[in-house]
Amino acid sequence: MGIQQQAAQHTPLQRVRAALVCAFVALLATLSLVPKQAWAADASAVQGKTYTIATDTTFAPFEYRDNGQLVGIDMDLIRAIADEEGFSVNIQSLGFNAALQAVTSGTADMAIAGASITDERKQMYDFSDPYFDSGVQMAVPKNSNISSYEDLAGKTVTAKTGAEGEAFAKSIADQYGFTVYSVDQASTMYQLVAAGQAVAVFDDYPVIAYGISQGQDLKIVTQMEKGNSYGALVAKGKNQDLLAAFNEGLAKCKADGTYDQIMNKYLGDSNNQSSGASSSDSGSTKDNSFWGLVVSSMPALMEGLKNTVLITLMSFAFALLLGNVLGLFMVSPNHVLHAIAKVYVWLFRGTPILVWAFFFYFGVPQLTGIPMNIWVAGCLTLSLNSGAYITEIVRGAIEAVDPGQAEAARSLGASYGLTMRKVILPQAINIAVPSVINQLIIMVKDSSLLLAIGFGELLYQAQQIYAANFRVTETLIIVAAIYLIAISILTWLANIASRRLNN
Amino acid sequence: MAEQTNGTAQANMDAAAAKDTAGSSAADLMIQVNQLHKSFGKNEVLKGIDLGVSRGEVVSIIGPSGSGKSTLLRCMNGLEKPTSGKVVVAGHDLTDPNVNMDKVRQDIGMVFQHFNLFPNMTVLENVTFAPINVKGMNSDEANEVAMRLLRTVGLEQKAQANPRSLSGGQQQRVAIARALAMHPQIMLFDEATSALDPEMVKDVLDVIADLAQKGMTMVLVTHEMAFAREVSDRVVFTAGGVIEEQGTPAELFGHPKSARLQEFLSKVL
Repeated sequence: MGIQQQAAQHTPLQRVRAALVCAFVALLATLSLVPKQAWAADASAVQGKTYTIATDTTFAPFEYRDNGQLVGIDMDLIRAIADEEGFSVNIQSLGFNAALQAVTSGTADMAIAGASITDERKQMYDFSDPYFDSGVQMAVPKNSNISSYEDLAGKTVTAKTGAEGEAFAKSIADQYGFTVYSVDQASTMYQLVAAGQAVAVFDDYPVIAYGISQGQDLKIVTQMEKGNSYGALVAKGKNQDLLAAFNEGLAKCKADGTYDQIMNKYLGDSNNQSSGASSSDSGSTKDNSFWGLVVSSMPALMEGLKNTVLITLMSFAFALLLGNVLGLFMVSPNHVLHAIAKVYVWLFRGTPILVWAFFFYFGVPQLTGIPMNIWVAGCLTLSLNSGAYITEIVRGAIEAVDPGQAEAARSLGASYGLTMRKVILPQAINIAVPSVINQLIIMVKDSSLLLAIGFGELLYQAQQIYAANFRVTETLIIVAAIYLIAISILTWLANIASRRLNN
Repeated sequence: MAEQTNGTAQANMDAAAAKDTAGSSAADLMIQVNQLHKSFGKNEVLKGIDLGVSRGEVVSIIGPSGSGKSTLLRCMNGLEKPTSGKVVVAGHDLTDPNVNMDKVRQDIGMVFQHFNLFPNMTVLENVTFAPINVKGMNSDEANEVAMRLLRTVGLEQKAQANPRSLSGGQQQRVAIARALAMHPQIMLFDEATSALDPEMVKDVLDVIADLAQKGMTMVLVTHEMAFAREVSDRVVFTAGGVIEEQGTPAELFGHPKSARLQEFLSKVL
């Protein structure tokens, strides 16, 4: 997970030049660190403070979950540095792009997410000293006879979107005549190779080494390409004390051997990557059966289910309120109210949920300067979206009530409001209930889109699990079963509630 | 309530009877329609209607389908807005843009072809709905009034029933009780028996005839020629959006003048 998309279009020559410039700049930064620190930033100012650190959801072996705990090189390193320097960290696992967004918007103080130090990013962020030198490697299935780039002619390879591996693979794709199939996650990459849809993967060598250590049936057949270095980052000009403390702590960790311990723990002996890489507690002691996976993943999945149900019910309550009010606006003889409802439905029915999730969580803090709570952002996103659909359901239900009902009430002298309240709405509710229950079920599943902003719902937890153990299909089957059971229970409860309402 | 209405109406009828019915003074006109036009889009349904209804008078409107009978009736309580012309009911000018229509409608009871009882309420709640919510009557008093009205229409034992469990004839009698609960000065009936099974019709007509006898001012759109003949003071025949002919039942049914009325009667009688 290195260079951004633009880098993917660079030629190999440009890449080498960019890498040299990066290395040079990094060197300069290191050299200038001591005097800069003396007058611009005070590493000791961080003591006793708590900082929010944003990271990727899953970028094994840098960050991933093991039994629900965030572990990995980045995680161990930031915790070790925090210990050395005397500050506390509140780690938020958001996803790579979301982590960088969170730093930009001020939602997080620093991001450590296996981020390559690039010139483009330096315009937005201040980087720490490099803490890891990465590079791209190619891996192929163990029984493959591909042993060099030349063997790839006419074939398809896979890489992660936006990652350095993708940039490198694309840069040599024309030369060697192969196609690059880019996907979002490391786990998907391995699935493609396992299914024979791609013959090789290109990724950062620690990622591949970790995948092999987790039982991927792969071998490394090429030398590591020279690549970028990883650095922690803060928003440009902000949190300079924290950055200085990071650099100071990193130097101390390197000096006292902590750094080497961490690297060995996740990458093993770098001369023997394929067999030596072992994560903290992976290995023969684990139960690798399906039921073993069910048992080990259940605590995290139940946490996810709890968050899914909570945010769905909260959002549903708001969506109901919103939908009822705007549904009434929709049928109102008042042109202004009618127009408000029309525009609202038009806007939220016509735009993707994902866009609003990003807007509320990252856009609003940048516009207002006020940090946004992820529950509030998630709730706004889901309730405004579903509210639009419920508005239409309510409008439809009101219009489905026999017009003779309103005529009878009005001819008795009842006002518009009284007629609505006592005659039309009680009947419209009965008509609307099945569709509203349907909308609730849709919301349960739509809430999984919030994983994009790092909300810890059910599918997010599943991604965390299979990104670490690569058992994608099995994990997703478990998740599907949990959704099915949860939605069945919810439907059953909703039907009981609606029967009560009818009587 | 019924007695009270009866008393006032009777007194007025007596007063009206003292004069020539056709020439009764404006004060005694409960409904006054002048040059009423009503169009739906390009389709002109009413083409200049003039009609007066005196206090205590029972007027039946008959005529072929699509002749504008129901539209004319619906213009009398503002369910349809006239395109042009003037409609004055119980002293309220319905064509005045500032008129409080909710207030006006409290004086005008309306009974629909399809009853339009509220299915989300019991029979009793249907009848007490407007007195409690519109007039602000307390529920004890409203229940008492409603029970007396349900007794009048022979349905007090159905007070707690759901309207859907009633037969059409029973539903229509509840609808009449519901309209009467507001103490209206005028009752409008829009084909009140057209949706009923034949054996149900008589019960409803009996209730209407009883109201007529008590002196209620009423306008009925109806297909029941025998009933119109029996209960009406005056019968109005509409055709093609105009009043073609009107007069006492004896004149209209006994000696129809216009060819259209003669043709209509030959079909329905």
